[in-house]
Amino acid sequence: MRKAGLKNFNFALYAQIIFWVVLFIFILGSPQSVPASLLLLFCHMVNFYFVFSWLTPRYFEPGRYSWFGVAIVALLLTLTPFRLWIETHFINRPFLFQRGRHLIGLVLFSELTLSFLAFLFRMALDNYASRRRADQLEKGRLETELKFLKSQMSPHFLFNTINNIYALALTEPYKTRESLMKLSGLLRYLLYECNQLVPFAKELDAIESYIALFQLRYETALNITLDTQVSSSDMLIEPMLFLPLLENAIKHSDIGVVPEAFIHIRLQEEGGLLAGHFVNSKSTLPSRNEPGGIGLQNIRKRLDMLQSGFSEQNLQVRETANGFEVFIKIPCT
Amino acid sequence: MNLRVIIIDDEYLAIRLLEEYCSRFPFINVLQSFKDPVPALRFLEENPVDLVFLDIQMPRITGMELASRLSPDGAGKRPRFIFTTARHDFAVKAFELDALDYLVKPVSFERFEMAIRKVEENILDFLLLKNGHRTIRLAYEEIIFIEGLNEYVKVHTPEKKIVTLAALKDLEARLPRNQFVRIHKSYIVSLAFVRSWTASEVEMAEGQRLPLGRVYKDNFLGLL
Repeated sequence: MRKAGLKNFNFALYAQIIFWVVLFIFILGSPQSVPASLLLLFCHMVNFYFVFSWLTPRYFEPGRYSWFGVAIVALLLTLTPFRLWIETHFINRPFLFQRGRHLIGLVLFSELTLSFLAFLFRMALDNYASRRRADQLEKGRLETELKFLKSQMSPHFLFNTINNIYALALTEPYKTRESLMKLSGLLRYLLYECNQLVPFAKELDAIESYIALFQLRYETALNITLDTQVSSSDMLIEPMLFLPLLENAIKHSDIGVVPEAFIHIRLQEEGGLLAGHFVNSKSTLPSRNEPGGIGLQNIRKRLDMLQSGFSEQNLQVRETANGFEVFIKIPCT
Repeated sequence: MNLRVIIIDDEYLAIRLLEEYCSRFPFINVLQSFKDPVPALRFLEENPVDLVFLDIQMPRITGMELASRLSPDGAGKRPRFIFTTARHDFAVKAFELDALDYLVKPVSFERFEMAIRKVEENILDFLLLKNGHRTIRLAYEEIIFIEGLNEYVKVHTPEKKIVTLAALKDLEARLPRNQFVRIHKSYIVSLAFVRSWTASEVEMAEGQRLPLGRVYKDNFLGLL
């Protein structure tokens, strides 16, 4: 992307250089001296860059069109006498010299043409740049969306759960049915329900099912606690902001491997927002210990998409002596 | 001697499933199951084991690492491995480590049975045969030849003849191909006991003359 932008800049620069060289040769082509041609060129350049670099970017926009017109008139009023002075003193135009008003017409016409060219050139460049920017924004948006979809549930978790339920079916039909219901509920939530605002109860169900399904892997009870203090479980929240944090905590805590490992989750209302507090023990296994992770970054991005700069205040990660703490606040209505 | 097996998997349900499957084969003896690969490694260094069911993704040591760490030691031969994993993309590496088989979870019993077939062909040195209520263990080296008799087979050894309910075709699949060969619709012979042969007949060490079927002739001659 950067490279293409640079290329575009070079193209604009080359176009200008070529334009001026051609114009200068053209001016020289008329029977006149080099100093006179340089003076003319100077005139044209003042005209061009006044419109190209200053006037169009600043004044060609809704509400300021009249100022744009005024500035053009002012430009012509300033340049024309100077041009006329050059034309009459340095340049001999045999065909037009007989009639003075033809000279004014020629000067005005050339000045207006040049202004117009500068204007068009600026518009074309701006248009190109804004299209490019829109493309980039769209691409960024799609990428975030894609990552969001991917982060919803790791396929590893899904397969692992299915394998465990398969083994469970051999000996424990009741627990098998219960687990299948939980898995089906979780999948329904992830696939169909969480592409809009959801009641808090749904996200909570998903978290509880996830914990229960994860617990299937282990014979002994895992030290995972979930504590909620919420006045109404009907309030609407953005889905899939809490569940990835649970996944994250599981990933980085050695839970199930080390008996001392723990995860404590507290969800409560706090100043009109829904606050989540995730605490987990620190992993001692080198392979599992990757702080941050794509999950957290993704959540940060999503919070900022809700409201620019939102994550600054409302998502904090802290490393303590024996674990990690994540504080998150999300909007709820 | 039975087949000495251990199971290593960090998830107890996976262990339970494999234990249950193993219990359906009378010759498999699961010595111990491990949720943690570290004590399993110690166990393997101290005890003779024929076969290891090994999960790949485990904390601390992966199944791959464990398998590659076990070198043939003085005490006996290196055990063979059957990997059991939820991932399908480690198979190539697994077979590079000379895995006997690679089972992708969830493992169905049918697939497990196939793996055990391979075990019988590659590790076992005996056949288990039902004779009435009795199960008879017959070392491969005792078998001279096996004769097919409709639904029954008759296994000839130097001491005795054992009749059991089985199909010759199934036995052929279970026996190691480098030791036994089919020579006729109704006969499988042990190559170690073949004394002489002609274009149409094979003479065994105990003097039995068996017909050499036309279909099986080339394969038989190629092996000798």
